[in-house]
Parts: sequence; structure tokens; C-alpha cells
Amino acid sequence: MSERVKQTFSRTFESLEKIFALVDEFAGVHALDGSAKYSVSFVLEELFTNMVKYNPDGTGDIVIELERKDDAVVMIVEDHSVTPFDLTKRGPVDTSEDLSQRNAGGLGIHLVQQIADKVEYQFDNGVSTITVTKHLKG
Amino acid sequence: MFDIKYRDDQSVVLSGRLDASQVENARAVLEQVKGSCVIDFHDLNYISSAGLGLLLATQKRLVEAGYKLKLVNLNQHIRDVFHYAGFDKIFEIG
Repeated sequence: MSERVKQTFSRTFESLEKIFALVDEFAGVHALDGSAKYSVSFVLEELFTNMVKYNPDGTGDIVIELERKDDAVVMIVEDHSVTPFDLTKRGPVDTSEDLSQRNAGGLGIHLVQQIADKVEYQFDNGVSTITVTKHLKG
Repeated sequence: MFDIKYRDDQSVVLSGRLDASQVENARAVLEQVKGSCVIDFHDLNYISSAGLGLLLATQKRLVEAGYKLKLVNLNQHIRDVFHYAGFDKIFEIG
């Protein structure tokens, strides 16, 4: 597997198994440790499922690109024919609330922001692109 | 691959990967839990926000009825996710 891989996935949760298989292969080629592999799997699942659930106008496949760049993994998730949804503008989840006040809304994106080192959003010509950078521990 | 078992001793055992595509399978079992319960994570490799949301809903339902969940044998990656989510403050983790 080269430094960069790109695959398209049908917008259904059943695609997750194939996404995890891609991560497994990428992690093997680039000797990612268990923590990095968990982080990449988690970020991709959250972004992918978010697009499936909240981009109801999206009709095409979702494109995922993985790249090893020096000491980092860069994950790019691209959705076509959608309305803009900038997840970087979402406020943080208050994780100090009591059980009775907690709800699961926004938790996935909150965790992506906690796990990632950088999250960028771009919208251009009906295409949403989220780029997430995760630095690898030395 | 994900599996969930509700054992005779009223504990629940999770294994494999609890992702968004498996959460309804897990929900069908956790909805059967009616009292305090230990959930064993020993063979669970991965959980995403979909699974966390299910655990949160289960904990809320049980606490309202005077019971609670205890989670045991979480691996370090899952512990980190629980910490980021603030779930280490709303669950007893052994």
C-alpha cells in the first residue's frame, strides 16, 4: 500500500466493516500502534456516520482518503451534493454534567475534536471535505 | 465482529467491535437488563459514540429505577474514550 490510499464507500452503516478493513491494512503497512489505529478507526467512523445521518441530500458515495505524512496520519472524508455542515463550528459537549443532564447528541464530533490534533472543514461546489490530522506518538 | 451475551448471573459480556452498525444488536440485549448489572469489556476491542450513547441511555434508565451499571475490564483505548467523554464520572468503572 502506498503512502496515500483512497476508496469510496456506499452511504450505509454496512460500509463500516470495509472502512475498518481499510484501516487495518493501512495500519499494517505503516506500523501504526494500537492507539493510533483506534484513533483512525474512531475518527473515520464518526465522520462517516455523521455524513450518512445528517446529509440527507447526499446521494453519491462517500470518499475516504488516508495518508501517512511524516509523523502524522491525515484522514480526508469527502461527501458530494450536500448542504454545508461545518462540524468545526459545533460547540463543545459539557462533559461535567450530571447523568440526568447528559445526552449523546454531538458526542461523536466532540470526541473527534478531542482525539485529533487538527480538524478542518471545507465546502466547495456542493462538496464537503473534512480533513483530520492525528500526530503519531514518537 | 461483535457479540453480546446476557449471562445467567445477570452480567453482560461484550466482545469484538461495538460500532454504529452493531448498536441495535446491543440495544436488544441491554433493554432486557432490569437491575444493577456488570458489563465485562474484557474482549471488547473498540467502541464508538454509538455504543457510548447506548450505555448512557441504559445507565439513565437503570439509575431512575434505583439500579446502575458497573463496567469492568476496559482496555486503555476505551478508557481514554470514556475519559474524553466524561463517562468516567457517570459510570462505576472497575
